[in-house]
Amino acid sequence: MSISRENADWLAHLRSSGAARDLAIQDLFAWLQNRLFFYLRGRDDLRQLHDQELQDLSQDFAQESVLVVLQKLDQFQGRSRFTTWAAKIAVHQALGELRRARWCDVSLQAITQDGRFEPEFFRRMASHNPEASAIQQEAIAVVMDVIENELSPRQRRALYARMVLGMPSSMLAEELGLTHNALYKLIHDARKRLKARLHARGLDPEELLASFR
Amino acid sequence: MNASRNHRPHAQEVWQKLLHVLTLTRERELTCTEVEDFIDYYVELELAGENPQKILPEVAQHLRICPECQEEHEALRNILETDL
Ligand SMILES: [Zn+2]
Repeated sequence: MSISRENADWLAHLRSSGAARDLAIQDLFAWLQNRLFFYLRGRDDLRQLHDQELQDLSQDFAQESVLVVLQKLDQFQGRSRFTTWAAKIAVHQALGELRRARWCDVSLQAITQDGRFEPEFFRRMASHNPEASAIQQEAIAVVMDVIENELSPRQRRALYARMVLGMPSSMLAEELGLTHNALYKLIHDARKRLKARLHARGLDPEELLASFR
Repeated sequence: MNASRNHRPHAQEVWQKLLHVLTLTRERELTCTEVEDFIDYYVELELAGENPQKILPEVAQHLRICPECQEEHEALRNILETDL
């Protein structure tokens, strides 16, 4: 079957024209579609879909993925098998679309418009949870101080959307008008700052976390 | 399909999640795009019984911190393990 093609053959066939190219595209499509189907069928959140719907969905995803693969052929560096590389692209496409579908009717603007990390959020936890030791409460105070006074409004919103709402970063990036990488850096900087402030006070996240176990 | 969206986690859950990502936070980290470049190679190493955590520790670190890359990693593994 298709997987038996060597990487060089895949590239040659997909770059050629005529029957060899058509056949390679057909094989790649079938290979991706079959696997996407079984993957989608195993997903808890798609359990309500019938096999026919899953077939249609996997067909759509495979079709789009083949197009992306063809566009990106020059980026294949041969670190893995060609089919593994194509499957990576298909997974990225499919999961991106599933995430978009799940979040499409949500207005991030509305749910995070206060731009605050619900400052009372952690404080409430501290006060409602008498077992929260003094050291946890101290750490919460440090974190809240950084969140309220040192992070930018954008960082607060991003951190809130990611940590509390679990919003996919691709959607959040779009909402904030940032590239994916810029968003990653924004949150990474916030995390580094939080960690540094805790350390400066002699508080170690690892130890704080260990006390919950 | 929208369970995760409507689920507002308890503050303590978020606090632990935050502590967790802070323990994993490094001065230098790969971005999702950089991880995506290597994830196919990473999964092949895994399936070949190699130790990708050792060979690509920065990718392994990112996978522990980033839910989307984690999900894509699992999906890719699942797809490559599918025996048709
Ligand atoms: Zn990622």
